[in-house]
Parts: sequence; C-alpha cells; structure tokens
Amino acid sequence: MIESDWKVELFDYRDEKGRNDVKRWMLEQEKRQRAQVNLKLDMLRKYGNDVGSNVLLRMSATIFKLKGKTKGVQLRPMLCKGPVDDDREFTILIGATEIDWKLVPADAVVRAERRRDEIIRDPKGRRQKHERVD
Amino acid sequence: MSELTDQLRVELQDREYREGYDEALLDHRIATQIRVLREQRGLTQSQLAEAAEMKQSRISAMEDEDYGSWSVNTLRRIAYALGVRLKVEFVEWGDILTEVETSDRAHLQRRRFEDDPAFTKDDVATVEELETTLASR
Repeated sequence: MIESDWKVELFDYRDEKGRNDVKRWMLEQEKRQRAQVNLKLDMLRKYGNDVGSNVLLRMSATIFKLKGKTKGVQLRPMLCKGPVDDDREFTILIGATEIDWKLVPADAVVRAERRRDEIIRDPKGRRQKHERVD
Repeated sequence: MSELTDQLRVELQDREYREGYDEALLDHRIATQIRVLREQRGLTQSQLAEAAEMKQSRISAMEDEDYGSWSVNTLRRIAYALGVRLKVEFVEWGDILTEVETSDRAHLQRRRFEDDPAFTKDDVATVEELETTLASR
C-alpha cells in the first residue's frame, strides 16, 4: 500500500465482537450507491480537509454525514474526525440511509457519538483500517 | 501510477459501478470547482451571486454536491461571472482516472480572461505584428 497516496487515513468502527459493522452495512447496499460512497471517501482520503471535506456535512459537534443527492434513498454513513488524530484520520462509525431528509435509523447521530466514545476508550479494539467494498 | 488508480482500473470494469462512481465524481467536481474558483477570486457567495445575477442561496446550493440539478445555462452564467468559460463535452472513460487524480484545489483553479496569457496585450501585439508582416509579403 502506498500510504503517500492519502492525506487522511480512514478507519471503520468494529463492534464488541470484533466485526466490521461498516463493511457489513456496505455489503447490503446496491452496487451503484456503493460506488458513489466510495468516490466520496476517495476524495476525502486523497484531498483531506481542504476540498475533500466538501463531501461532509456536520450533524453535531463531532459527527459528520456523507453528502449525496437528496432524491430517493441515499446512503449517509456517519463519520468523525480522528478520534485519535483529528488532523489525519476519519472513522466511519455507522451506516445510515436517508429518505426525504429523514435518517434511518433516526438516532444515527446519537449512535455514532456513542460509538466514537467507545473508540476513544479502546482505539485498538473498536476500530480497524477501512475495508473498501466495491 | 497511484494505488487508487490501480484499484479503479479493476473496479470500473463493472458498468453499474463505474456509472455510479462517475455520477458522484461529476457532482463533486462541479460543486467543488465553483467554490474553489470563487475563493481564488476572493469573492463571497453574495458577490458571485450579484455578478451572475442570481440569489446567494442558489450559489450556496450549487457549491453543495447534494444539489445535483445542474443546467448548462446556469453553469455558463456562473462561468462568465467567474471570468472563465464552460466546456461540456463527451469523453472516453479513461479520463476519469486523470480527473480523480486532479481534483485538488491547484488543479481546479483557473485564470480569469484578464490573466490568461493567450490574451495578454503583449501577445496580442505580437499576433498583430505577425499579421502585418504576412500581409506585407
């Protein structure tokens, strides 16, 4: 892997049993939508906090959702900066969808914040390097 | 070649996947380039809106890649207000690899007409001199 390709490193949340919950969620989605999520994550990883962050919309003090078109069902994974190194890392915390501005699950932001706290308490156990699903 | 390019050469073999990836890239580049060009000129959204004879809220929406409802006419108005021209053309799929690698701020910036060396006064004078020389032969 050529690490210099990326300005920021991407991680996935891992549940209490060590499973990659983000990968599981991505595998459930349609291929076309997975491709759209991957493009946005590529821009974020490659161009970082400058033009790359254009793909994110702040939802709370610490949580961002991935942007996308507003028509139909949209994939809106929730991310946070860091939480170990806020300048060089993003972590995907939970998969969510959005229909007509309504998030599913409705409490996705709260759950994402909870998961971020879990990672802060156990960064090695509760996250792993991002696994791309094409 | 970058790791990402290598990966995309494999992933984009699938038609459904590559069309989804391309759609998101186009939305991202348009929205991001409007913001980058506005910032390059030191303009606020309100100032660009005034120059393009639009509402500020519309510029704000178009700098958001959620928007996704671009029209050529509207983009052309923004282009002229920014001192550049809009180019829409059909291209081969291979171009997508270059576009992914050149979506940073530096590659998205463009000079205004007034700063374009193709139209600077010195160069125009040179062309005029050349035409005069050729005409006199």
